[in-house]
Amino acid sequence: MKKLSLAAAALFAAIFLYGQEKVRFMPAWIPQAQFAGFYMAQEKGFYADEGLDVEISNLSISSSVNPLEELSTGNIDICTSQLVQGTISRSKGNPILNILQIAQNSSLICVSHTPVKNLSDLDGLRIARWKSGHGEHADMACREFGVQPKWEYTLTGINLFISRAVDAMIAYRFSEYLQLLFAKGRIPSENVIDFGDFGFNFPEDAVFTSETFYNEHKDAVDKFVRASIRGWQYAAAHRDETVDVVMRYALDNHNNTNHAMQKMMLDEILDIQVDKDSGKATFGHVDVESFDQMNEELSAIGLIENPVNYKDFIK
Amino acid sequence: MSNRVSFISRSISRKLSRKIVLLTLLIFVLAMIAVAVVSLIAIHNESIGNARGALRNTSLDIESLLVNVESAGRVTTRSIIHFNSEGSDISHVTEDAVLSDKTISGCAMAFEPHKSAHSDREYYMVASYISEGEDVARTVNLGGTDYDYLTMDWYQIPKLLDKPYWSEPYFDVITSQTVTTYSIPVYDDGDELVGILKFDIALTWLTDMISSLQPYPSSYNILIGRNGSFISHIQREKILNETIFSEPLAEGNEKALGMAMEIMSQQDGLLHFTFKGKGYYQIFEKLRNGWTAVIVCPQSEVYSDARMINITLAIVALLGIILMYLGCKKIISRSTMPLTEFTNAALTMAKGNFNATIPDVDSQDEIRYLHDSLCYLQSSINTYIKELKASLVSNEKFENELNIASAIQRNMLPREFPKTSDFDLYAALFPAKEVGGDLYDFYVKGDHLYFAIGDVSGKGVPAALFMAITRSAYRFISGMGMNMEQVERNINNAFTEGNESGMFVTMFIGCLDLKTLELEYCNAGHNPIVVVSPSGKADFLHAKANLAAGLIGGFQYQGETLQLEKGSRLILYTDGISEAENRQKELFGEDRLLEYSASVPVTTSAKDFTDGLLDAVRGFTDGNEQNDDITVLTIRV
Repeated sequence: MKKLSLAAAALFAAIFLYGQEKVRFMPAWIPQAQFAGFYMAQEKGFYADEGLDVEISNLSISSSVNPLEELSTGNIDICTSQLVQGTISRSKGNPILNILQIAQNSSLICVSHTPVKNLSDLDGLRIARWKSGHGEHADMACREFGVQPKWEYTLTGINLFISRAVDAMIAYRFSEYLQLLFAKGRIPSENVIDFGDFGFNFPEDAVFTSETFYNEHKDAVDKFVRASIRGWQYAAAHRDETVDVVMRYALDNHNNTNHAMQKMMLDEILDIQVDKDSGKATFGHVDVESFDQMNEELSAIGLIENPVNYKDFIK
Repeated sequence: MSNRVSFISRSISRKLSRKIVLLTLLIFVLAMIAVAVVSLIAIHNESIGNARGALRNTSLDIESLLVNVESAGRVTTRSIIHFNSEGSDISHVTEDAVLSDKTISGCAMAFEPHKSAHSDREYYMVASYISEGEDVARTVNLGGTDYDYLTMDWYQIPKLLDKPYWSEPYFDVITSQTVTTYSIPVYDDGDELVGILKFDIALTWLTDMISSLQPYPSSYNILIGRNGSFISHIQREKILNETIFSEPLAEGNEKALGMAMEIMSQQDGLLHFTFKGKGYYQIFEKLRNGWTAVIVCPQSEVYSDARMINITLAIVALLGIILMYLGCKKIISRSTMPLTEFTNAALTMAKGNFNATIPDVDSQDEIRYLHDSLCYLQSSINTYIKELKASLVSNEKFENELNIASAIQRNMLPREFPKTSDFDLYAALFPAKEVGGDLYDFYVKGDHLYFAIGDVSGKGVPAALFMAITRSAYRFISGMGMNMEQVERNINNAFTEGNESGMFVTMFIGCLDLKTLELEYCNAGHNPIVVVSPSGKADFLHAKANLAAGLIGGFQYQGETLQLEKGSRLILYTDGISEAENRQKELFGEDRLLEYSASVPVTTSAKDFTDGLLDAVRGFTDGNEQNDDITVLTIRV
């Protein structure tokens, strides 16, 4: 009887594992609270609950891998990036789809050594920005206001800024801004300019997949989206626990960070997930009008030639 | 009692000792505070100076290491320029650099795109390194999307600043260790940037060096990068993960934040902070690469020498004070010992032994003065006692004589009271002292009842003598058959003649015809007598106010007559009745006398009436001391 029970258990486990569908997922950057919802979905077994075996591929700080390109090569199945990056990539012919819009706002800012009240104050400044992309909101704003900074493309501009190799740096309020805050203790608010305040509050983080994967694994995509939303909701409700998990992921990946900073980052990330109109986190929602405006702005700064069709792109 | 005496003695010595000790203690404490403050300042300055010196030495060691790397960099740069201009492989140059200095864990030349004369790759980087435990350099070629050195701090910052740069520590994926990098921009002959030459130093070299610095047992050291990151810290998990601002920001501690900002912005300095109730000093100094070296010293250890000195001082002072207390107590106790003996002698005298020995003293101070005073007191008491004894003997004799006089005086007055069908008479006399000045008298001669009552001025023996004279004079003169006014005139004349003492007597004398009930009387300044009619009505008899006998010789006393009815009552009394005083200083008074006289039925015997009146007076005075002689004479016809 005992032998029979063990055999039944082994059979059940084999069927269970066999039944799990493998999904390769890559967050857009090194492990940090920006991706807390995905880590919590993994940790709390929400992916497993959906029958998914999700493998999270973490980037290292020295890496210049673009997850959206990794989708096209088939190295990964799902990744995160920003709506703007996804739109540009799609416009350039990369057959990717937005399967889950997470952030509802932009947190892109510029931090300067000197006060910057208006966009025109950025004119002529040497400003660090990511070589891997991002910062398109700044391009749109500079074009709109006729401002021409001297862009300095880099991996991360923190030490460039601190060593005064640059006059200013483009930063996300939830990430580089916090790193600067933890490096300098205080950042005068007059030295910070928020591009969202000038009408460029286009949503940021979203989840993407390739059309191929989407078509072949529609069910797995849906499951991934459901579990990820559940992960984000859990993270919002259990922030301290979430930060502990994030710290484990970060330290395993040799990220140099700390609990206090990740706590602040999680708060900022959850804050930009809240739709300003509804006051709630509206996962998956992309405003058509805003999307079209973003297309126009991207065309205007020459990053896309043909506007991306909303219905084809946003799933 | 002897316990109490020794306690007094003890308490004086203890009290004095305590006061002296407290005063000394106060002086000691003030002196110790001064010493403590001065020693604290001196030791603080010396301790901080020592710590600063230790920090400076370590900083110099670190900077010496940095300078060595910088020197190696200048030499290697020249070789790179040379070999690249020839289009040669430069790997032997980077390998030599690694092998030449064991502190250099890696050396690499990263070219600007297409600037390598040796390779046609867009991104070309020659990196040599020595793995841990090996002494052979390995070289790899890097560059591309997997290793985009153009965007790395060590490459980009010196390029932008156009000068050598010490990077913040970072995790090097090639050697899998945390390093800090010295980067030098390399230019060709045409001053065009060829690339960046870099030298890696394993961070452990620096952290070991800073960790070895420990001026105090519990002090620890921190190395902080320009971005605030802890490069070295006693809590290893904080290294590169936390910054000097992490805790202040997490806790919202503005004071700690300001302190951290001061450390980051100043070249060097000293700060004090408190953590979990303990004080700490932070001594910090900037290194040549912009990093900050900090020593954190527990305040308790900085001041440990001062504390030892102060504790030793305190113990010595305490022992001194205890010894002084015991010494003072002993000395004072010895000095006050005569006081104890004097007290015992005084107590012995108090018990009646006035010849108690008063111990002698040798000193010439207040104790001697007290001793002499006690001796004088003892001598005075003995003299007084002697005199008192003599006086007592004399008094006893006098008292006996007085008692005899009192008996004589009592015997002089009639004590047999006749009670006939014609009249009923009773009298009582209570002197205030052994002998008194009141008198009464009566006798029957034929059909006449002669009676008198008197009150001599003054009290005591003189009054008693005068009273005896008065009674004798009255008996003698009244018996000569004269009327009452003549009797009184003769008594008065007899008294005024040769009356040098100036004494006098008030008298009421009367003669009652027992047949007719006619009363002849003469009042010589005495209280008016009370007459109670058979119907019970009481009233004072209106008599002419003659003078008291003995005042003026030849005074013409005038007598009067009164027809009594059968059943009437006469009440004669002295002022001891009417002026009897209670505790409230109220007098019995004539009204109460009249009231009482009227209240007693006329049939009541003279004795009962008299006793009742005396009881009423006693009841009124309620035990108050009798001030005057009391005499009552009652006649009922």
